[in-house]
Amino acid sequence: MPTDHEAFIKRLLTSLNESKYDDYEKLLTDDYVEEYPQSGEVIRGPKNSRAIREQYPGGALQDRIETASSRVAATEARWLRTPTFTFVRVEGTGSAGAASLRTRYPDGSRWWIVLFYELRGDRLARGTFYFAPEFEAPEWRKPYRE
Amino acid sequence: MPVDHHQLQARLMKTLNDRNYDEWESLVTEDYTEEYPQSGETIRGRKNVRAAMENYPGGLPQDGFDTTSTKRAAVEATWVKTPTFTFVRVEGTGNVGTVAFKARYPDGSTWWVVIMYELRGEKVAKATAFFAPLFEAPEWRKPYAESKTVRT
Repeated sequence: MPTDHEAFIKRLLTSLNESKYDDYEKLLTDDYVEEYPQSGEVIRGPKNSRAIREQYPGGALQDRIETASSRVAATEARWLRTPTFTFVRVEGTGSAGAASLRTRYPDGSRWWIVLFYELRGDRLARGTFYFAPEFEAPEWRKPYRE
Repeated sequence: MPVDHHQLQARLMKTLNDRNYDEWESLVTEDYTEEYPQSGETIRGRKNVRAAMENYPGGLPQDGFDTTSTKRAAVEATWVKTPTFTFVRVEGTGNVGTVAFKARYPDGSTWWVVIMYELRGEKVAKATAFFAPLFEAPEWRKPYAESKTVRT
């Protein structure tokens, strides 16, 4: 049976939002690899992936994620709202997919996270994460935008 | 016939690298929409998107993109190298896809650009773009992370 990407990502995010790391680990393959191309970091294995969340400076606050709804126009795209992440966009077929979500960090800053992932069976085998900060729309682009 | 996402993205990248905006316009729909969730901006219509690119402060330099090759493990992922963008990762089936590439801006900073896009026919109808800056790997994560040579 093909993997339901939306359901899978929702389970993954719920485990993170609720700091249920035992559940989180079960969703990863034993040789899970996590990459951060922006810093060149590669994190191997569910234990290390769990540890970086548990050891995040300032702690992984359960209420750190913005719950207010935000609007993002999306033609023919599927958006999934989870209890704590504002929006998750999930696109995927077969073993690969992409998701985007908005979150807030302990310092109060808001970031979009874009995740490219690969599944093996019904577990996450690889995740490539991009972290994109919110920014003020520049003046020079005003004539062209809404 | 299904759209070849790799080929389409390679063509798009080339038009941008070459600043060949006439050619670029031919690859997107007339009502092409570009969204920047980080700032909440929406740019509607290919003429506006083109104008925004052409009026980028300092200009989008023709040689502004990193051409050096970087090594990166990617299991079952497909990577396309273009002349001026370092790497392009393209995954797509049907009418939706994603692409990630590394670009350098006029101020010399290097960013990853990640785009979720939607096609209509053989043209891009919508793109949602994210801009992610390079950052130093933090000390606290070192016990758990390896370092790779992705950054420049």
